[in-house]
Amino acid sequence: MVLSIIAFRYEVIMQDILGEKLIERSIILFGIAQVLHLAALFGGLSVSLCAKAAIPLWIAALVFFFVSDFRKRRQKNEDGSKSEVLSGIRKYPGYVLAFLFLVTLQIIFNCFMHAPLTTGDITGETVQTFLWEDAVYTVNPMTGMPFTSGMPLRQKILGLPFLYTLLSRLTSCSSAYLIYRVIPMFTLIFAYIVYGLWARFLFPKNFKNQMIFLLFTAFVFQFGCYGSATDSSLLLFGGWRGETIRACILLPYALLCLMKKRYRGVVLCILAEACMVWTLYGAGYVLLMAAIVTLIRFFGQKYRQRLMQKFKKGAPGV
Amino acid sequence: MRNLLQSMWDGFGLMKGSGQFLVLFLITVFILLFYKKSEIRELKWYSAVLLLLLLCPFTAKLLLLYQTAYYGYADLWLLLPVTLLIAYMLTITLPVCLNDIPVLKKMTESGKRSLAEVICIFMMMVLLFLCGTMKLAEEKTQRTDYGDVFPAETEEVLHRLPLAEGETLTVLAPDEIAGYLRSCDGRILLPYGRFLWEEELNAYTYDTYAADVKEMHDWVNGTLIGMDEIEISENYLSICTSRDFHILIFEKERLQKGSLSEALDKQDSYRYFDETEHYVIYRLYRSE
Repeated sequence: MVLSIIAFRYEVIMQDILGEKLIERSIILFGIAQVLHLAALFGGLSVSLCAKAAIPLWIAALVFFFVSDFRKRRQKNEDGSKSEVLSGIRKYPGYVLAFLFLVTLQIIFNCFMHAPLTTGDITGETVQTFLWEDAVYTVNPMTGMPFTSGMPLRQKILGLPFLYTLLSRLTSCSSAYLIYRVIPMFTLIFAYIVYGLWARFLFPKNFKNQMIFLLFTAFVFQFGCYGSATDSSLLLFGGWRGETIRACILLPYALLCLMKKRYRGVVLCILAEACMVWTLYGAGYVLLMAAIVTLIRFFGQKYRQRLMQKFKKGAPGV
Repeated sequence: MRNLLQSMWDGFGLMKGSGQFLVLFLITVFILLFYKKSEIRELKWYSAVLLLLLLCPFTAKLLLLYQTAYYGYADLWLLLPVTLLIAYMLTITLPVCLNDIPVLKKMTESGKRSLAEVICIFMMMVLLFLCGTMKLAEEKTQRTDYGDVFPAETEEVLHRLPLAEGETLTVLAPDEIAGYLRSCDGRILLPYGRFLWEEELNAYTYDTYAADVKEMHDWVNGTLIGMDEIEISENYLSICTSRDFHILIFEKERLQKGSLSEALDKQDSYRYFDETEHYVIYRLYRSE
């Protein structure tokens, strides 16, 4: 009895956490790092000072999330809407185990046993430079020497390397290990969380189909790295890159939010992309996706309205 | 127009690679549009519209302009939910297969539905395997030991460098070593960045290098024309001394050829420091 209550509580909490909130709150936590990065870039704050400031800010954000969740849960008065995850796991343990086994293999072989595919990427150099100089973009990250011509401002304001710098400084983990090993693992997990949300959206209350969908997603990722520009190859060989986070987390999540008309998520993804990926002076893919979906929705509504009008005209008595 | 079509074709090739997932995706969109009455109306219309926008040269050009032409045409294909729709299509095809394939139907009817499902999933996995590839991993990256980040030889060179606390070290090394050095340690300085040989990185910084730096890069990598002459190596070694490059790394194979090792023997600024299986490390010693 006690165990089942604990399991149910755990399930409700996990359902809450491993959902939209996890993605959106991670973006907000990244936003804090982005603000600190801008403060370091334009205000001349040192990296170590920013790292000290990051801890209370992140803790404050987490406390705020916890309090707001607690309030909402009390307001809901625990409506008792039992999820089917636990019963689904009990019913179909084979699918769950097969999926977890595949993901574990992907993490071990792709995230931990391959040299990083650093072609076209300077994240590692940038983080090492930030750590060594204790400041941002005071020297050229490629050489460690002073800039001769400079660097585009659009490139400088990207906060992802600074987030990795803060994490490396705070955890004392070697930045190379953190960037090329630990972060890709989290990106992979987050990508599966997003596809898990899609599974829940596409097959509501059908746990078996949700797991089969995730299993196929894992297969597509595994066998889909046939070109260097696919989301699979980015995910399995360049998980620390902003482009990967965009392709495997932000774009699918934003599309899901658009389908669900959850616009806060879309806005967060647009902002996250602008701060993670060098879109140069373009507005990014998420905004383009949002614009296309909005247009499709608009024309779809118009088309349905016209159909309804025609139907009413054609059958006045109905 | 011809250039645009050519770049589109190249980009499509990059996206397609040696896999056929795009064909699967096209079939998926086609089936979802015309045969499957689905609740995911907007998703399938989004996929179809975007596919058309990407395939039409004029709209593709507009999209390329939208992404400020820095990223290639292949990158635009990331907008398509390929993984999502293929996984969705396979999932909804599973019950259809169980009903329509006689062997599987028989198994389902005789109470072995789970086994039939597993067989069907396995068949679909084989289909995905045949349409995709696992080759990229072997071609693009090197395997590393568990716990290591960089290839074994690079890790070994990195561990042998005399890095002291609070001090920097300027290193001139072949590309396969130099490419990882600054990712490993911020104390290591390089005379030129990776974008000297990685063209696509040029846009990251506006820095440019003089012709002599390019020649130095070619010399240390063993691709400079006429580098077999002792005078050339002597000249570059004296440049390295005057510019205070603390460490020089050469391929062992190159040193065995003669002219470079002769030039190294003739000077006393750089002395042998350490070596790995394929590389030899020289360190700058000041005579004062």
